[in-house]
Amino acid sequence: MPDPQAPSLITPPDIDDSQLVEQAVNGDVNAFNGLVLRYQDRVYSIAYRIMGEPDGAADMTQDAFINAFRKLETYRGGSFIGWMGRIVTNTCYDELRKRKRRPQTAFDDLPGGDADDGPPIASDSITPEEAAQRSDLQQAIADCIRALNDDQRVVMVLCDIENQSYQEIAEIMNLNMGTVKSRLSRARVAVRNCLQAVQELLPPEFRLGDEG
Amino acid sequence: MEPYELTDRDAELLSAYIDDALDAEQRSSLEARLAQDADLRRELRSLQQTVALVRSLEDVRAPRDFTLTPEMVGLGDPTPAAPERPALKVMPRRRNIWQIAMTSAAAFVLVFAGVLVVMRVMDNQSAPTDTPAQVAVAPTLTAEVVADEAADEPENANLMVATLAETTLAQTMTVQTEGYSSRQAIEATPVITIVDGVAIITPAVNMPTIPEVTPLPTQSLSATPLPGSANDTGMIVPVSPPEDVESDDSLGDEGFALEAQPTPSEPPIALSVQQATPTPAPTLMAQTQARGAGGAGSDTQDGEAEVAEVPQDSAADSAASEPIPSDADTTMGGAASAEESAAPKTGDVLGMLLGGLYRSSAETTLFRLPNEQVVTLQDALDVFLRIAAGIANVEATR
Repeated sequence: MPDPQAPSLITPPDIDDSQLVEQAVNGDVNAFNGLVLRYQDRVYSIAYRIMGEPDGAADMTQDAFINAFRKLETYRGGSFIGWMGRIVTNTCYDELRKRKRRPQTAFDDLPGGDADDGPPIASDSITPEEAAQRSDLQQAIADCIRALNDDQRVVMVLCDIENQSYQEIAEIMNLNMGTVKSRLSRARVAVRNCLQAVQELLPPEFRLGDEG
Repeated sequence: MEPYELTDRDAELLSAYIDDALDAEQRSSLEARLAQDADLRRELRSLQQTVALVRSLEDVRAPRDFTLTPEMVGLGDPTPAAPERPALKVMPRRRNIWQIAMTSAAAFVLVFAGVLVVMRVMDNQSAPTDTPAQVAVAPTLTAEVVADEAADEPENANLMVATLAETTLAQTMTVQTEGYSSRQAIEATPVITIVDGVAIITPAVNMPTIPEVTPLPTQSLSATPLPGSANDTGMIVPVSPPEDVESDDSLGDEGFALEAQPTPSEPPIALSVQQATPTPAPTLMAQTQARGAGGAGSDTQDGEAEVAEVPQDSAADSAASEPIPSDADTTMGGAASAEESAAPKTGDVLGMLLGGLYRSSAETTLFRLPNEQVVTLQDALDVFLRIAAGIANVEATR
């Protein structure tokens, strides 16, 4: 049965984000769904990097879109995905803290080796070998991020995946700048040390520590 | 290559340097060190590569669409996204008011009737001083009424009145909410549990629709059964002007009369069954279970004591004609229980009991309306009495 909400029919690609936001803020769920379809991979990916597993990431993604729709009037222009990224990050971070208070070991203590990273978005121009190699590398990076503690991981995702500034990160996580810098540097050092264990996966130009 | 100990401080500097987040002074200082220190350069390079690798992570594909439905954001069906949990949590909101009013009022009336029955039985048996019927007048009195009976069919009344000792009160605080849904299909069971001034009410699912009734203006209404027909129907018929029905003689075999003067604010009820002595009213805890006529009569009730059982006639008739079974005694409540061996005193006790019951009902909060107005058991009783008077009026004019 065709979905009556089928947003692909109603969101031609030439409508820009701000127009959709404008319609959505007036209660047009279909317009908002245009934005959902446009950015759901990105939002889900952020959630997935933070949560470290697909089910929780999907839940957080859905919650984040609902939250975003409800507080759409607080969106002050600028990059919609930047705003959306902050919302999904916050949603995930709240959930992680909730889980920390009431631990669910099944999710938080995964060693990270066998998690399904989901299929990377395919690019048309690479060979299967390249794809496999890239997939291994991607998997290794993802595993090293997943191995971080929650606080470091969220800061790293905000900075290096969402490209939020230190100032924005401080506001999102309610931290001072010094703490943001310190958590980020520790996260980067930890990921580097993690990746050094899988040097052979890295392309030559990324052999860590090698002089270029 | 010997491991280079990167200090936290240097790691922060390098990390911020990568993001171009150092101020000019820090930056030039760090660059001067980097120019001299190959190890530090190597650290910087490895961290730069790490950041590049993390940033090279590709998005993963969403496992499904996350499009919203109007319901998800509270725009579709008016199904409340997060209904507040009221204290009476078994009940959906809609049908509350009338069912609570009717149920609680019916239960209250059944308590009245039950007490009356006991009193009358006691009167009939009052000659021997070792009568088993005793009425508790302890400061705290727990009365439990189990009536296998719908309120509008009193001729099938099967009343059990029990008074429990205060000490058993804690055990009788059974909240009759669980299991309601599983039983609702087979019986209409309005259940009222009044514990410590808080009433928990489970209405019957299939109670008849209650007609809208415009409350009468404040007025004195007096209800007394019609001779003859009253015993058959159990109907309370208002008479005007109010006539005092007093003492045991006028109660007679015809049943009982009760006069109520409900006023919106502070209704001083005059229960003229007997001039109620101004004895301090006992705190009355009533656990009342008015059970639908279709319900399984033998379904075990949670009440811990059922004491007086009156056979299946109308209350007045049975009380007059049949002595109460010997095993159905009304037990003493607490140390202060007074043995009511003297017949003339029963009216006093009754008046005290009913008056106290009615007065205490004003403190029994049934529920709160959305506008924070508190609806008490007494309000429900007032409504019921008015409805009863209205019905009786209709009956009388036929």
